[in-house]
Amino acid sequence: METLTHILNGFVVATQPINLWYTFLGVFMGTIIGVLPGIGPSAGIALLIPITYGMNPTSALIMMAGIYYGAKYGGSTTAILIRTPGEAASVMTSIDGYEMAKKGRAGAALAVSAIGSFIAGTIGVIGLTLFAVPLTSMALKFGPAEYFTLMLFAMTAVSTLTGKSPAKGVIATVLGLMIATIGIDLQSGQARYTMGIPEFQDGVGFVVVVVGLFAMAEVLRGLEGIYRGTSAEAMKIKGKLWLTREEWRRSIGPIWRGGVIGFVVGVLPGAGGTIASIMSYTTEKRMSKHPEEFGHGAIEGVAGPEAANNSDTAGALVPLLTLGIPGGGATAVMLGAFIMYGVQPGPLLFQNRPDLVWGLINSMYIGNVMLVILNLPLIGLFVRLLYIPQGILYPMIVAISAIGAYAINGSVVDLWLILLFGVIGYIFDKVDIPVAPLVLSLVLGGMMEQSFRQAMTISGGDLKIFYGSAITVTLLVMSLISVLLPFIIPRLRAMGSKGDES
Amino acid sequence: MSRILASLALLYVAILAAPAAAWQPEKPIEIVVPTTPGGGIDRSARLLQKIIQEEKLAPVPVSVTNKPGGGGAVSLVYLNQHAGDGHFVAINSPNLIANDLNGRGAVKYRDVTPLANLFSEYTVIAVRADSPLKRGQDFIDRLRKDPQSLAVSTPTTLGSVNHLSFALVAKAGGIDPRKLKAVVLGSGGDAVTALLGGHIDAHTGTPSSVVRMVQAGQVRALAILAPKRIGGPYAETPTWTELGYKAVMDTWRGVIGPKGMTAAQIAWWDGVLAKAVTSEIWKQALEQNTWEANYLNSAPTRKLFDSEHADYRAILGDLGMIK
Repeated sequence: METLTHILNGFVVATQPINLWYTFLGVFMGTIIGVLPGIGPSAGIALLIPITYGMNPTSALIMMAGIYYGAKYGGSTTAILIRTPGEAASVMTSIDGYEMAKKGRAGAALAVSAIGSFIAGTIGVIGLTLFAVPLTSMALKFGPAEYFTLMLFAMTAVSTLTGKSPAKGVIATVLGLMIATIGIDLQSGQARYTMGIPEFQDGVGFVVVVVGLFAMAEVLRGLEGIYRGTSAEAMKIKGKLWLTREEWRRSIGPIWRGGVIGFVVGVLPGAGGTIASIMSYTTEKRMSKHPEEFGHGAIEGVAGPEAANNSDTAGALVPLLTLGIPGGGATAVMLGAFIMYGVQPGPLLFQNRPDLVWGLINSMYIGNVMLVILNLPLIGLFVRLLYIPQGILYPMIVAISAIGAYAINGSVVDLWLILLFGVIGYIFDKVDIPVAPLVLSLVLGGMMEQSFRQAMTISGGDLKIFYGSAITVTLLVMSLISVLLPFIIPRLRAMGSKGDES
Repeated sequence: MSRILASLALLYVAILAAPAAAWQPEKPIEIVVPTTPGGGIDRSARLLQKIIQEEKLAPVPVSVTNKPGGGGAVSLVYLNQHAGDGHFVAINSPNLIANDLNGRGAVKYRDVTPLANLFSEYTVIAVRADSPLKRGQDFIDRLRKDPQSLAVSTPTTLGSVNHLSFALVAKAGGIDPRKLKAVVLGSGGDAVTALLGGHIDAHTGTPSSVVRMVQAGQVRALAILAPKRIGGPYAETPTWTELGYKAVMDTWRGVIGPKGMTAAQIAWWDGVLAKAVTSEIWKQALEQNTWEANYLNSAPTRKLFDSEHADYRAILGDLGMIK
């Protein structure tokens, strides 16, 4: 009962004119930060900290949270229109979203991203409101062994991404794993495959790889088209900008599922939005009656991941608010901001500062409404990008990608890397190797290896730790089923059809 | 005549001394940060920027530049591209010296100019509230019986200050540091989650990494690797030295300049930084972040770096991690 009063009081805090203004300011800046590749919410929030010093902490944190979830709305725009993920978590959107744009459905892809983000964002905040405290104990149950089995389960999805040839899928997967090993190995402190380049000590950045593989490769393909005179006609919008009834029907399931997946993955520290969107994508592909459409403009492949990466932000606030533990880069920066304002997030925050906690959480309901109102009219404006002549569009993509990649670390090495991965992506396309398995193994590879070795250190080399808890056993069984399913289902179908014949 | 000569001589001396006595920045000052925006080092840099500007300690604007990469190596190379230029300074941590020893650093710590130490963060060893380890002595006793019996998190890499802290305490207790079970978790946040979830037995980290859990009674700080007790929420926490195990480890935050700075430039920074750490904003930030006030000017900072180098060399040698 007392909690209910706090929640209602939170709405009073969130609807104060000054806080509405900061919510708007936050989500507006977030949208812009999301549209620009490279500049992520972490950097955006960090740069604001000194400016907000001396401000009312509630207002400042409302604004910072706005940037965080607002960025997830903006991230899909460039992914759909120019195949450049504006945000690491939008990487899956640049596969099917861009294909949709090629087919003239850019408007629908942008619309489903915005609406999916809105619905899932709201699911996430509801989850945060209702389950923040009980979910905390779930997050704590995840130790290194649990993370390893979770990553293993996610990794089994790679078979759904391989396309026609399993061998080619393996090539992409292994390359991704190899890239993931570059850098200082945390468990031994040794440098691996850094080739004496200091920038490589921290590994190869994920955004750098995907910007190269997607955006730069697309530019190279376009250049080839121009030189050969076979370049496709400029993408035109076909039909209305809004979703058709059929598209809407196909999207609603993925949005709900993505919303739930994103929130749950978000609660786990360290997993993050990229893993949430990959898991949503592979789930949708598996559940789909026409999985062959994925990679060629399936709207489910946009709706699910975009929903997942939005509700992830609400999930990530659970450990931050209840434990004072940041699950990723942006929440780590927010923790710094909390401390700066003299507010200690953690177990006592809900008791000591209910006005701040609930004001912040409730501002997210309002912020999501603002974002959808802000983003829907922008669709008409953004799709005009497609009418830009290729001679101008391609240099523009190169410029945006280069600025984005450089903005992350201010490193020239990263510029060479996007070029290198652009060439790799171009070659992959020529010989028909899918890039999605590379993306998956690059995200999971590093975490999977580290958590395996952490678990082995804890157990003293005993593999028992991987089947020692209910969570690990469940995840192992799920992984096994996931691997066997593609072999079993065709047989079951064959048996079923035989049965029909007889 | 002699009067004229004397005044000429004085003038001569004044001309000679003038540049040495009064260096002033003439273009914007740049504070270089070896990490991405948002971490502890970045925050202290931006705080310093704010103080220097608001208290008008410098006649020029101040900016912060993030040069992450290579465990700090990228920022040091950048700093030394401006050799002898007093407009460039950087904030650094013990990584500066550890990287020198493990063969990772591109720039030796001797090749930069120490300007100040801003504050200290002495490592604390903590356990979950319901742990059977009640005191620091229990921790030592368990490890003496079996060095492998405790899984201890040492974020964020092997050879980090946290790892060295664990090794130092064990060594002081007569335990071979190479036999310990040091679990490297990717961030301080991951490590604390694993501690609260009971996946590891103990955690080494800065006081601020567990301060909220200590206040909430979820985590118990066994002992701290400080020369004397720190105050605040850790007033009750004994030092390892008090317990009879001489072990001190400090994640200090040093200000450094590029190599070849002049005495006048160093003197100017000594003046500015000494004033900056007396400001109210600074004192407030120290308290909020559980940072321990420990300002040193340029000369003692150089001594600090040298003695830290010797200490790290010894313990890294015990761990077999010297390159």
